[in-house]
Amino acid sequence: MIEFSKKIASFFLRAANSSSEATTLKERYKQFRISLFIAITIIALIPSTLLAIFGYFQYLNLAQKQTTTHIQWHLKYVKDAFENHIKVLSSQLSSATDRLALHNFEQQPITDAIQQHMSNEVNNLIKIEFVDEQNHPLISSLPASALPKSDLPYLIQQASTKGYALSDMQINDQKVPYFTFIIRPTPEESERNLFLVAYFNGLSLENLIQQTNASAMEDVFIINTDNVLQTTSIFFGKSQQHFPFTTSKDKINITTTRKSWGMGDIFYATTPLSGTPWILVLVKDGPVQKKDWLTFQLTLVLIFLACAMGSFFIIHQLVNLLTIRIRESDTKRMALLNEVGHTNRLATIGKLAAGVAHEINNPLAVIDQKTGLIEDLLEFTEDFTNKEKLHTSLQGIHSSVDRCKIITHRLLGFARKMDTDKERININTIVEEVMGFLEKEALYSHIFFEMQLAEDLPEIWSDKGQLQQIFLNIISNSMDAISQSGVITIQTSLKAKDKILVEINDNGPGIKPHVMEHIFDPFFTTKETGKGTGLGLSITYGLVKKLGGDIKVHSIVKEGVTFYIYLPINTSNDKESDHG
Amino acid sequence: MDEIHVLIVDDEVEFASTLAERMELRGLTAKTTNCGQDALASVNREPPDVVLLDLKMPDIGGLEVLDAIKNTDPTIEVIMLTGHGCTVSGIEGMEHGAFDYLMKPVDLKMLLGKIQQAYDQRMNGHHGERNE
Repeated sequence: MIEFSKKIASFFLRAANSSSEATTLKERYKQFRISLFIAITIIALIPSTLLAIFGYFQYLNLAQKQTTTHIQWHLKYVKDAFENHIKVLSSQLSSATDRLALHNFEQQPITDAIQQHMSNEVNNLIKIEFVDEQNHPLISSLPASALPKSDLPYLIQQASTKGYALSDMQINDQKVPYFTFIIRPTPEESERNLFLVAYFNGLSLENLIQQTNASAMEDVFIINTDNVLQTTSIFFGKSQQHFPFTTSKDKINITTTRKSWGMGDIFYATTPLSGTPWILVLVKDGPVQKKDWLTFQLTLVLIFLACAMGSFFIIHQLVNLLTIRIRESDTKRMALLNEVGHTNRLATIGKLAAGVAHEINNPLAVIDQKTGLIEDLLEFTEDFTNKEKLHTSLQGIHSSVDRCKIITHRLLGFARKMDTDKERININTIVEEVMGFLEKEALYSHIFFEMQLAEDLPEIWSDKGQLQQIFLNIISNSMDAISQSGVITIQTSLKAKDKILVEINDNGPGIKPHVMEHIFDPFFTTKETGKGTGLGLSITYGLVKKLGGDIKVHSIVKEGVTFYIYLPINTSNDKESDHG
Repeated sequence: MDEIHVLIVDDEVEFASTLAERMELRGLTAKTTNCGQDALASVNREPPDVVLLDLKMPDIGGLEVLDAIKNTDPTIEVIMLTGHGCTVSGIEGMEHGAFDYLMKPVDLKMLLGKIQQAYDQRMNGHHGERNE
């Protein structure tokens, strides 16, 4: 089971992973969520579904068993009651006959009187008549309507041995169902062998059934041996209709049979009624009452649906929570990896920068000394044409060497924490100086500078050279981005009590999002090979951080880029600690 | 004032020779060597007042040369020249008995000032304290 579930899980995870490569991260999480949701839902719903199905059939089975037992028990009860009734009826009839003076029965008025008398005791008696063994009617009470006597001889024979006999239900010419009850009076009291034939209305049988059938839940009726209905059935119609199923001849053991009938199943049991030509039938539809069954099914479905909905909701929430947590930790890990990567890259560039700076330092020293020597020699030489010009050129070389010196020192400082050279600085002055550096180049490229410098900004305690480097890097970067004709706006403002904000905005093509992620990475450049080292912004980032500031970029593609440089003002208290 | 004898030890030949020439122009006596071995030989042959010693050299490291010079004659003052752009190696040199350290590229005026100071110390004989 565990193995199986593992397989399922790995299948879903693989499904989520395999299709992920071409899709974005967001879709990947979505797919993961959906797969997880489906997997957990299936796993959660299997047991409850099985339970519902098992419960359904178990209930059905139990109900069926109960029904079977109930039918058997009830049929037995009805059978006993009915047989008892027949016995009572028979004894009533015979006693009534016995009490009459049989000698005088041939006289019509006496026969009528007998009937009158018996009608008082026995219900639904249509008429009586006396016949002899050969079925010759001796006398009959009124009305003397003609009744078919087809099977009377057989019945009389039966009555002569058993004492009484009953006929099947028949219908007279007035469409009234009736049956015959034949009694053989006690032979000693009679001179002749004669029989009393009592005709009963069929309704009496119906009444009898109704009296014995205590419960109205079942359909109880009587059929004859030819499966012809003797009384009205709910399922199979009125008397004389046909009962379609086989019947049992077993008088003691009653078995219940299940058959499909109409829309559903019915259960029925049959038993012969002793002393009669009839078979008692009990029919019940379904193991349970239709209404109860529907209620049960509805309840089951509702409970199942409620459980499923509840599960759906909980699983949905859980999966959401899980996905969010995983996503969060993924994001954190990615950020951490990025940061580590960034730090590593910075360390690498640091080492490289230190190496480069060191190598450049030596030739720089030679240039410095050679220039110095030339200057020395010039001083000891008499005036000649262009001496002054030569002197100025040497000055130029000197200042260039100085600039290089600053750069190499900065590069070394990038690698090692060199002491920054802090002083009181007006940020606007520095910005203006840097703009001055770049003015000519800007004019050449038709780039215009727009300065929006806030007046009365507090002086900040920072490193002038490094600040120059920062602005120089960013502005020349912007100029490279614009390439031909554009505007660069430099804005200074007081952001908070202890912070100055310098915004440098260009209307160049902007930075694409994927470039944005790496903008401060060392060696990352979008410039043509050989045109950029990919160090400018990386060094700038390092410098701003070293000065205790922060740098942010905002880019709108096709509209331009804005760099936000936050610089701490640093009070005189900080000054002390900086020196220490 | 007596002429200050300076020995410039630097594997960068052009740098050493140019610096020597400029010192000569300013009235100092300057010699150059381009490796540690030569420097030690020169010190033995003709002890200078002040040695300008590059920390990074192909054969023997600057610190070893410094130790060897101080072993030969503790009164000879040594000024370290570092190209590392970091103070650590310079400070290390001073722990080994160097007079001071300067970072390359070096300003001549500042260098001359340092040489003068070192020479003064050698003449006044304050070296003993530092050496032991």
